[in-house]
Amino acid sequence: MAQILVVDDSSTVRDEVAGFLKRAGLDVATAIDGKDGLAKLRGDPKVKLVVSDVNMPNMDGLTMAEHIRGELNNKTVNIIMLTTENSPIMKERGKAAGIKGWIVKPFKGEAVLATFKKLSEG
Amino acid sequence: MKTAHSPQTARGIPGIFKPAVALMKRNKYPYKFAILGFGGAVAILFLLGSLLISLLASVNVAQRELSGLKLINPSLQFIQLVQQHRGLSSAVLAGNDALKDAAAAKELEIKEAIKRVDASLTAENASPKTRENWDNVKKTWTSLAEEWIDLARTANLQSYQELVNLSLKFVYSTGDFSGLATDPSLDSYYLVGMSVYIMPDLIELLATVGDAGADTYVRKSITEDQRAVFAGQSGVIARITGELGLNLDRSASYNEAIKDTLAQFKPEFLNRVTEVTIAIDGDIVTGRLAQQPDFIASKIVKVVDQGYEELFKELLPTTQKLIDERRLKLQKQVYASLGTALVLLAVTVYLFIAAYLSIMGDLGGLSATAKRIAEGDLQARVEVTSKDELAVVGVGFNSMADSIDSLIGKIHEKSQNIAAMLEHIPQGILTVVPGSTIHPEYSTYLKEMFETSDISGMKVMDLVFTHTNLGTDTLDQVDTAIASCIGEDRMNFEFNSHLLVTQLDKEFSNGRIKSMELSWSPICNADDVVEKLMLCVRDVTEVRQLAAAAGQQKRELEIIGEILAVNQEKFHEFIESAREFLAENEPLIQAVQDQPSQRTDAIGQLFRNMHTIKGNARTYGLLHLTNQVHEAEQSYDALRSNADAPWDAPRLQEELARTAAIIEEYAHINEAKLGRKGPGRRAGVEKYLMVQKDHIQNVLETLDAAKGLDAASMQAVNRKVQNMLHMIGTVRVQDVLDGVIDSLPSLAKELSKEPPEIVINDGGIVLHTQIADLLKNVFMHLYRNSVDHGLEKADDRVAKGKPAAGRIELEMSLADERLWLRLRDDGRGLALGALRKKGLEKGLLTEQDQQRSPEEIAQLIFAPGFSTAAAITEVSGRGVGMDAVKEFVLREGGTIELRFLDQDVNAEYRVFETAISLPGKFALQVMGAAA
Repeated sequence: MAQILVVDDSSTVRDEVAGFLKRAGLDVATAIDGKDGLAKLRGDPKVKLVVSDVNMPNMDGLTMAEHIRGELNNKTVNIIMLTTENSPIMKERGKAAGIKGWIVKPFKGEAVLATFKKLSEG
Repeated sequence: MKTAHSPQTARGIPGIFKPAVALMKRNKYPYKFAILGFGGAVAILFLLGSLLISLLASVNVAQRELSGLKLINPSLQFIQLVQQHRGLSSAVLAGNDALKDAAAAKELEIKEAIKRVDASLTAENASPKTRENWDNVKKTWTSLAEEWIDLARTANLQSYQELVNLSLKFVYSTGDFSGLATDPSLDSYYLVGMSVYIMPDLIELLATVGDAGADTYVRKSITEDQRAVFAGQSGVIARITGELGLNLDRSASYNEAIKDTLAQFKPEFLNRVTEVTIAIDGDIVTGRLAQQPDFIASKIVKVVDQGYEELFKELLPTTQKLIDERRLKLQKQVYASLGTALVLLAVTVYLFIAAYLSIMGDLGGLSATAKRIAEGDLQARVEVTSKDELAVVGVGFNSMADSIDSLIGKIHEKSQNIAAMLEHIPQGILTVVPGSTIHPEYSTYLKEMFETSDISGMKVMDLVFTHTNLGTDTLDQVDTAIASCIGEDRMNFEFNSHLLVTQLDKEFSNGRIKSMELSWSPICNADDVVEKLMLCVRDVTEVRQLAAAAGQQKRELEIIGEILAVNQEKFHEFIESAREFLAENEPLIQAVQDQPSQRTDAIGQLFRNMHTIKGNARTYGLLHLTNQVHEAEQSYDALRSNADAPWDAPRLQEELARTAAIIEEYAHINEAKLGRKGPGRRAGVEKYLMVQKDHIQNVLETLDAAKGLDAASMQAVNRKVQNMLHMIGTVRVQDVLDGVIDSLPSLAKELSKEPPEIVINDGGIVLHTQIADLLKNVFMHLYRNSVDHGLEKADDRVAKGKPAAGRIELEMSLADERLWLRLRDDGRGLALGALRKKGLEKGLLTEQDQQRSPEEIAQLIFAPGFSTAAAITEVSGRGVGMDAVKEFVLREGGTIELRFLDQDVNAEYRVFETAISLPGKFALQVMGAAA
């Protein structure tokens, strides 16, 4: 029933991001890697925004995004990547998978809150 | 450019046309025309083909009719011959052997007739059915020709009857098959009916009756039955003849050409037939048989001959002619239709191609022009030669091109403005494009700022961020943040702009450091995608330095404020004790380093010492000091609470040194800036300093207000603060003399004088507080003297033409590093006579001295005891005379003298001023501070 799904293998990042968004009054669910994220999203079609790490075990964020668009055939959910690097190849893959945005770590809550709210409501 | 308009589409297409419209839209114009042309051509060819087939069918009908006639003509000749042979054979069988030869000759003629029919069958390519019928006729004839001679007369006649019937059937069926029976034209229809059906039928009937009649005459007897047969046959002949008559009339009415022939033939033939029927009815049916045996036969032979003659000479040729004409007419019609259709087709194709060329030409012109414009030739326009919808498009296109041209012009102008701005603006402005590289258009000042000319195409990280105070991790974040914004939705800038650093220090050659402030803004396209980032760089090195200087000044002022709140003695004690504690701590730190066993005890002592300093500093409100001491105390506390913490002696010593340094800073400010060296005298200093605190507040406020100003404003503030700092420990002369001046009105009243007007011109000079007490004492005396001795009573003054109230002026100036204070009044002046007299009385002057200059006499006033007694009794009761005043002044390194301001050397009263000079150190020229 959540609006936002935060996917990151680091519990620190998960807590920081999800915690911030929860305090800001948003419904947030978490997943520990791409596979988990995919499963959670499959079980919860209400999710409007996925905020995901790129490098994760089992399934990385970009692959997850590709599965969301392909396997789940979910073309509407907004996907935003949390990353520490940004190569042209990543951006290329991101464009193909309909990635809306790239947030470079460290994450700054105030900078994303307004946009996140908008994306998770639409 | 993004517009709100949806594309203009053709509206109101009926549903039925939608698939066709879709098909047309999918194809280029050549294909559209090809589709249309193909459809049109197929339709035209189909119609043309149908028309041709129909016309050719009509032609074919005529052809077949003709072909039929060509068969029927010899066939009828054959029948005529057979009928003639029948008559001959019957006569031979009746015994007339003389006719045997004639019969044989007829047989030969019949053979010839058969050959002609055969030839016609071949020539006309008759159908197998027709051939079969004919073969049947031939076979019957062949057998009859062999056996007739052996037959009885009656049987012979019957056999011939069969043959003729068979032949007639062949003629009729040929007429039917060839379409003659259903001839489509009225003129030929009745002729065909007569020629092919009625005449042969009638002739055979007549011939049969003729043969039967002849036979009856030969037998000379007739039965009742036979009479009835003749009567019936006569009736049939009459009926057919009537029918023939009608047909002849109809044929005549439809064919002008044979009308006359037929008109001649008809009555003659019909009369002969009527004669035959009358003869039959009158001589045979009545059974009289009164006439000669060939009575009937001769009549019938004539009729038959005439009938055949008419048939072969008129009816059949006319019929053939009519049908042939019809055939030719139809053929012409075919050619005319074909020709017309081909001409129309050619015209249509011609116009079609012209329309195609016209449309393709216009479209080609449009597309070529559009291409030229796209390639940059903004002057290209479509040449509009037609008047159709494409011309409207062309005109619209041209006006669009005009708009684009003017728009491009404006854009060009704007670009030039921007270029000029980039060239002259004293700021580093650049844009970062995909790949994090710098766009070739950047502000000229950027080169100066970064001291390189090789900027275009450089990576922004290389130009701006190398040799800076930023760590590699920060740089990596900046690099990634830039890459994450460019080419992405605007929201990415919001997400990541906090990582784009806004200030840095960058090192240039020779170790010069420039402080730079950066501001970033996204440049987005219509879809809100960040196309590039604009980066503005400001060199804030100078501003920073000024700000730092201001910060230092502020700190100093705050410290001064703190110190001034503590009395000098107490402060001195504090500094001394703090120095002692620090001196104790230094060896303790080293001792623990050398002998860790002493750690616990040493920490206790170290902490207590620092804690005591902190406590004292807090008590006195020395906040800057307290912060540093607290820090040191906290690190001791950390070491105390954790026995395993490493003992970092160098760090502790460094911390100690920092604490000592700040204590010395306080001590230095106290001594150098505030002049409070040593324990000091409790009361005096304290009193001066109380006044100065407003200043400090003022300066602090000025500095606070100065935050965020530019370099020029910062400099102004800096100057102001410097002035203010110098003014610390100074006081305005007005404030010093406040009490003195306030006491003058009451003094004047005591002396029955008007309160004097006091004017002070301080010349923008303030006084050091040390000199304030001195000046107060000096001027108390000088002002009182002036009111007492100088200024006259109001009446006297008015009598002399002066204002009732006197005026006392003090003027200050700085010259040659000395402070000058000059006091004068507009009273009666210095009473030189009285001074001289008093000098003689007091023994200060000898008689010889009487001739001394007025200046020398005037100096008597400063002689010890000269004015004391009078001053005490008369006015203030203060035990300070002019001698004491001079003493005070001299003690501070000053001078005092009276100066005459008039040239009236021998006058009793001289206009004068009292001039005091003091060392310049007691004064400070403050620009604009006079107000």
